Amino acid sequence: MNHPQPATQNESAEQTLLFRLPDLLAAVLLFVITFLVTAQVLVRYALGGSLVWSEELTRLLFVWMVLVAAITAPRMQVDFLVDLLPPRLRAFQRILVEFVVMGLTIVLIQGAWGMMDLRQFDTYIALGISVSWIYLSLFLAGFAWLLRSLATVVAHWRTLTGLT
Amino acid sequence: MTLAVLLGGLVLLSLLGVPLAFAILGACLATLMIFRPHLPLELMAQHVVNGIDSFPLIAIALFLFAGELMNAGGITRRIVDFAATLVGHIRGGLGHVTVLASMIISGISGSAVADAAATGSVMVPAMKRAGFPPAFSAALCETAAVMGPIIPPSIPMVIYAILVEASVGHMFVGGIIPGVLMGLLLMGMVWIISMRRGYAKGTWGGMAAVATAFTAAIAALATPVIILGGILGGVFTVTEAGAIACVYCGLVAVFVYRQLTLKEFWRSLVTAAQGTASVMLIVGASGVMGWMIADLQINKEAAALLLSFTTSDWVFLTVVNVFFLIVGMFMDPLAALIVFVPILMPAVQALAIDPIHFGVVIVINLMIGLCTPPVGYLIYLMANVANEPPQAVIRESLPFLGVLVFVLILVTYIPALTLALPQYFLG
Repeated sequence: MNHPQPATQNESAEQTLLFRLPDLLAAVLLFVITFLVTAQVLVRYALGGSLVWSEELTRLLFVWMVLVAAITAPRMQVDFLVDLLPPRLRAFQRILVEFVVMGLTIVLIQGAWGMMDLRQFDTYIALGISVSWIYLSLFLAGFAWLLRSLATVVAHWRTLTGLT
Repeated sequence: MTLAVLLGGLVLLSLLGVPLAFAILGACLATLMIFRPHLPLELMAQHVVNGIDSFPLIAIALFLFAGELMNAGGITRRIVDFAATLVGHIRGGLGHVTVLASMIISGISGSAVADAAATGSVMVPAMKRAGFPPAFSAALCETAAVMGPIIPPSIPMVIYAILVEASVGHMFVGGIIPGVLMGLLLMGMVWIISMRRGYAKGTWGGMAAVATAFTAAIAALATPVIILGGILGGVFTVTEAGAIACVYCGLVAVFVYRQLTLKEFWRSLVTAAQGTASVMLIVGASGVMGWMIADLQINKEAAALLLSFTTSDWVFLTVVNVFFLIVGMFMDPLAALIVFVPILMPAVQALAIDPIHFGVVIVINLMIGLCTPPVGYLIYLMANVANEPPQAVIRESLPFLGVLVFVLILVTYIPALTLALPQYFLG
């Protein structure tokens, strides 16, 4: 909804290919979520019952959808100040920012791994599956976020050296 | 002290251009390492995931999806045609049509950007053909779109309600009177400007034309009724209303208007998922911040600081309004909401301000920020649609911004405008 500015200006062919897969997965997940929430209403009013597992499953899929879609989604940022920088300094700033992002992403990946380990024997009450499934989304998506950051660094590195 | 490190880190990282979600995480990490060095860093991952893992927040994805389907499926077009037969004959014709169509569309979409994209793409070219200056049309679509998240459903209101643990339904209903008031006053301003500049009006086609357009639009017009009626009548929750809206808009677009292609449907899913992710990543990061604010008692520190300046609710609301109008110039409204509301809430409670009233005030305020430079997303969106320089759009939008700020002042100092309807309908 907000700020669909291009995430990277130098989007190359290999990047678009890399970007297709997460979009596909996120779209399918949103479709299934819409279906499940609707089914919940229909079952309640048409059949008078309730799908006990549906809320847990919908929330689990929603977390997956958000973290997977975040691989390609534009990131909200305050850029009116850095927009004033000359192109080379701007490329340098983008590289710096991506290193900060990568550092924090690694903290999240490690944390997600730790949580998967810690909660592997806890299960969802209605679904009966391990709670680790929810943290797996952050663990896997985290690696894809790292790839996105690396691609951005490479693109801006080219700008930086290309202009020298 | 902790507050200074947290906010200082956040501001520094944001100004460096670090994406807001990561700026929040970075500031939290720094604060943790200084004040709670013995805590495991798994906490960050845990709170990010827990912040996203919420059933009410799923409504964001669903309302975004419904808005996309509405635009792709020809629903916008029918609503505009219907509005044209109703108010097109008043002086300033298509200007009133823009405002009325925007109000109806606000009842389907929960986001100002979706609202502006919908009315802008249809109304700016139409108004150009009718002789209105494009900058005027763009400014009107831009400011009328602010009603999108005020008239229910509303994405920022869902987020606010989750942040302060208030009822989403109460927030939605609280936005009705302020939203409708905005629409009526905007139409008044269109009329004044049109009289002065001699803008065109259309002809009154008679009740028969209204009836024809109403029949063509009825499937579309039913959407807001289903959403609001369902929530008010307790038929379904807000999230469920979002899903029903998607299914309904999809069915109408495919079977009634026969306009939705598979490709457009797919694009709607991807756009909605990405839009959700942009917002929810920040919500997830704020999960870490929310936990830390409570753990380090930063909220008490902030409340004590704020209350040392004033103990009057009017002064507090005034200061907060001015603060958010300034923040809204530079920051995305949803991000500002997520970052500042948890810090302000203890003071709001201490001053006995109703959280629903406060929420509606803050949401109106921050949505106005979408129309104020230098960071006003709607300005650039509409300038682009109208093919006009942003400065021209900003200049034309000033009288309408005046109207919006006037409504903000009314809503701030007359709590009944917000609270009367929820009390009547929901108790």
